[in-house]
Amino acid sequence: MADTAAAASASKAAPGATPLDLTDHVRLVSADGFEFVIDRKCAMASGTIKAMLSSPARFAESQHNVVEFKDIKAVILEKVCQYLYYKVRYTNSSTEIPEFFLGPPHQLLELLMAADFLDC
Amino acid sequence: MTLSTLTLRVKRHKTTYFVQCSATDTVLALKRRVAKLVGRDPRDVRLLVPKDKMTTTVDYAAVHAKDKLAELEDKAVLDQLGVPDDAVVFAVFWVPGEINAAEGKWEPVDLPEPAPLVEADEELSEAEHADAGAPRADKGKARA
Repeated sequence: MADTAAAASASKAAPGATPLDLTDHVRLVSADGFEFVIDRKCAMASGTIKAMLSSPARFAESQHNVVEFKDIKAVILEKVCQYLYYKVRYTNSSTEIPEFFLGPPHQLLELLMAADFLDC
Repeated sequence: MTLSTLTLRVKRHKTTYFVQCSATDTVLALKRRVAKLVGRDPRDVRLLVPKDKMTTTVDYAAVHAKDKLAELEDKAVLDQLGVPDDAVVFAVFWVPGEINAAEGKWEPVDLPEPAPLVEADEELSEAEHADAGAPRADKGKARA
């Protein structure tokens, strides 16, 4: 009973999207409705997302593995996702770390604000 | 021995799936990972890339133009195809026919472009200039 209720609420939370069957992935939704499905491990590299997903039942996000960002646009959120993978890949790495391309200058301010909010 | 891991972005409609795989994986292995993420059969997933060159950015005009995308063959190995890290791959699903499940077709590639960043700011600054210009013009006329 609890499972079907959870499944029903999960499908309501992400209308029109294909269901995310795995608990090791997280769906991040941008302000303009674009979705980014990333590894849970990489999502946890953001302090804010980690808090949202780990906190016991306080945030709705922890139940459906979906986090909505009403203030972050898709272009920025995609860059953040790429950075999270880069961070996980090269943290505590002894290999030479390539530079992370931040993108065109007009995007930098919003990217900085998003990174600050997401603590990553 | 370091394993060459690729992080690819598989895009379909408004969703981007970040999928990690090895450079020695076949296209079928990649399809399996994608299919697992979306809860479908790998045979119902088709992966496409731009014909000329695989890139890390999306050319929205090319995506919607016909014949600009090539399908990835199951048996091909990612390393041999020259798929770069952080490449963008497009996915479409098989839509089974309503009457006969065996008959159906592949979805068309449909990728909406995300909202641009700079436009709104430019409009704002133009409006500010217009407001600042009007009182000045009035003052000039009064003096004359």
